[in-house]
Amino acid sequence: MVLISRQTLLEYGKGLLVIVLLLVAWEGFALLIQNNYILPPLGEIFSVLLHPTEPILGGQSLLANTLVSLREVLTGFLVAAALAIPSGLLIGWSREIQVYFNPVIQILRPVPPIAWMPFAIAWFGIGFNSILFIIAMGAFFPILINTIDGVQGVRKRWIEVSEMFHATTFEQLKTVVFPGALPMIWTGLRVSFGVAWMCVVAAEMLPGTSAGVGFLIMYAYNLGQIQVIGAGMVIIGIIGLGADIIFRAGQARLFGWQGKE
Amino acid sequence: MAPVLSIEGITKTFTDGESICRTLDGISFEVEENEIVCIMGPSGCGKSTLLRIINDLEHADTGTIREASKDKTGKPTTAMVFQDHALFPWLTVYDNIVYGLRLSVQKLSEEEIAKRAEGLLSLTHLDSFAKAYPHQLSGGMKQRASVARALAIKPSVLLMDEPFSALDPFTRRELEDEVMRIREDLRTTILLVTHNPTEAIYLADRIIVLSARPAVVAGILYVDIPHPREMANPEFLKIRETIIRMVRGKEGLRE
Amino acid sequence: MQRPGNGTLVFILAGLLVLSIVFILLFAVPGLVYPTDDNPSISLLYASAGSMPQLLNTNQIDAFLIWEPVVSNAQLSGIGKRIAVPADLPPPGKWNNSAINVLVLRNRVISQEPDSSALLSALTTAAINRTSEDPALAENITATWVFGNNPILTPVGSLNPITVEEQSFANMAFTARAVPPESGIVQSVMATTTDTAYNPLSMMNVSVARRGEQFLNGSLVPHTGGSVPTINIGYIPSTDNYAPLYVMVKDSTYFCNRYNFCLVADNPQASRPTSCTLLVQGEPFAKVNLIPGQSGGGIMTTIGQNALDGAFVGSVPAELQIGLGNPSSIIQSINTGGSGLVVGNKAPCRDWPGFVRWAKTRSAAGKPLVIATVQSSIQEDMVREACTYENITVTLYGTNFETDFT
Repeated sequence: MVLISRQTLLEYGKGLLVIVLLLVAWEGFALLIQNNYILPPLGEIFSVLLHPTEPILGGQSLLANTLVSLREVLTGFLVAAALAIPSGLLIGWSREIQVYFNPVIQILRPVPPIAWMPFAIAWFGIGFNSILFIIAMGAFFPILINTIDGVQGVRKRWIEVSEMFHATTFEQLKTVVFPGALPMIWTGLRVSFGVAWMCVVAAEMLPGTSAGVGFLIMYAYNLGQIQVIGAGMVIIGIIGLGADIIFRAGQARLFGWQGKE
Repeated sequence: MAPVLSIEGITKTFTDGESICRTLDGISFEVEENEIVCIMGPSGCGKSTLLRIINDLEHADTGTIREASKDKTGKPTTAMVFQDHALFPWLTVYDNIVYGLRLSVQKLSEEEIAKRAEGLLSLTHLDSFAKAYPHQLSGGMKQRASVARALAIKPSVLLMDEPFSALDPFTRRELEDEVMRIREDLRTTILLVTHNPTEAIYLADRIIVLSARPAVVAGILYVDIPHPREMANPEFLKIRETIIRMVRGKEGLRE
Repeated sequence: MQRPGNGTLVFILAGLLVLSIVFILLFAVPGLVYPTDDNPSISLLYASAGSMPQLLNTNQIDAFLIWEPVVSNAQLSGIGKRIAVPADLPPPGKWNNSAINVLVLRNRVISQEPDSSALLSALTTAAINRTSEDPALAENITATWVFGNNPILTPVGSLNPITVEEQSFANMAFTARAVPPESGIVQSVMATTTDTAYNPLSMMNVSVARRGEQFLNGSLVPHTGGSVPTINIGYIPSTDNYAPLYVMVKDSTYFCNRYNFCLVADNPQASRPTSCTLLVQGEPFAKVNLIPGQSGGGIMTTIGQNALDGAFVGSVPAELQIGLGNPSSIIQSINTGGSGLVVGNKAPCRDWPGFVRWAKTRSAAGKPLVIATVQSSIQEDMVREACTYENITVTLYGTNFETDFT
């Protein structure tokens, strides 16, 4: 089963070239400035990355902290998807319902999830639950909006076909609307995961957390260990990239028909 | 014998804000069992609308539609083949064809469904493409799948809305032949809308010509030419001329 | 929905398999399960100073250890009661003469601006003395600086900031002679990160304070020939512990009259002046900017980045960073005491031994106490050392990670 073609490999190679050039520039400037607090040398960052199971600065290891953040983001993401997809199906399907809910959606959507933090702590208490709420808030809207758009983009003709065969409303939603909207829903999921991942890191930097990549970054900042921050950033980027690759591979596999109908 | 389909006095008016468009102004005709009836008329006169009304996708303002057979829920058992095939791109050909059979209204077992599907696949020569997806098929094959899908629920009347207009002439002729063969094999009744007089004469037992908006039945022509019908046949050309004159509005009489 | 082809099916199955493994890993590794060993434990929560009273009030935490005036504010607002001060915490006598806050300067600044450095140290010592001599003056100045001299809103009404300051000052002792403490946190972090041996005294540069003493005793400050350097000093404006700094700036007239050098705010009307001028014999000697910060650690990092030249900062954050290589030195102490352990009014304890019993009871019942401190602060050190002394394991809130001093 070939997931990556030779062409994709070539493209990734070109991207890698740019990254390598940036790294060389980084190292050059680090040697020039000679101040670990401003630009830590790459060697120090890699040394943190290459020992992911070692405790960092008297706390938990890089791996343990990463897993904590991943746990938070996956849970929040799944909760958001479980709520947003059915809501989106309903709102996209019924013009009536959409008229009621559209204004509140458009008002809440631009609010950055971090702004909800004080409410989150007040309603859910400090710790995992409030962070979960923040992530779910961030992940919810991209999925919802894409689901609504996906539903409304389903060709009218397909729905007529199901009507013609006397499908019930539920059957229409299940056999036509949902599969027809699924490519857009998938895109929404991909975008939403990225947002959720950003949210979790920011949420952990706020007081009340004791673990996670965001927390680790704040902790390292308080101790002036900027190379740990660099390592944290690399981890964040890698996971974001990995998730994106997985989603896109899924898109190619599951929706090969898209754009060709 | 009672006609399979009997429509009477169908009117339909579309209102679009300010403008009122009386599309159908009292359409009445009947369709007998195992007939192929073609509906023709100038563009925009409501041919498609009429078919959609028959198929219950739209409601007429006045008039009645009577069908000899209805399913258990009292709904009409017509099925339509659209011009743009409208297959579901995420389903295989097989799953597309049996789509209607899997709905709760049908209550068929998976074995029965498989049996019907087998018959339809061989009827439309799509046996080896059962697991393919629509985007992998040619235009003609997609339309054949669309026909198979419509036939799957054993409709009392097979409705076809300009089914071959989007295809090249060679494929079109192939599919026209197939339609006639299906009519022979399954004893299907077919109501087909087309704007191509040659196609209508090639296929139809009767041709119903509609006038321009507000449309009424301008005339009904019987095509008595034996199959296979050839354009060179003078009778063929005569009917063709009549149709064109009727559509242009120069004749309104029944012949 | 669809009967998927073989390739897609394999992909989906593989994906589900990976997902399951990931989930098991995630929930097995840093679980939310409290440790099940026999040792009593307590859960340590990191929070900001300002959020702690609220957390206690809403029963999300059982106790907090923080600096003044947060402690006094919480008491007078009826949110909680103070049951212990650092002197009460074990190891016995550990915190009696330990510097809680210190003045730190970057080494390069000390060598490039030796006189300005010494003058800052001198003024700090002088301000410490002034604060101890005239507490009422200091309370007034601090009330304005920290609270803006507006009434403090509390759940039971509003408080006069002066009342809070009176209570707070009773809990602080200002001195330039306290010694940077031996911190368990610094010890364990340094042990796992560097090869340098941990010695708090070696983090000090006493020459600066010595020269400052000379200036206090009347030595003339040498002229510099015109150039007026800018020195950026950081501090945390939410704490009473830096009262000498506030007094230094707001009561500058006293210092100008007595010592011929002083730190004058460019805008004396501002409740929290930022740009000030160090005057010697009435002439500008240096520009000093007072930069507010959020955390001791962050301030120390900013010093390392050359964006700050020094700071009034907690002793543990200072030692932590200097121990890990921050090129700065501790000049002198500012105060001892100045913190408190606060529990809810209904908590079943009135002192530290009572708190320990409470902690053990709760831990045995499967509901360990939750205590909040500011991360990497001396207060965190106090909590961890005291609990370790009492054989109570300290775990980080929301994880089963046990902290310890290696």
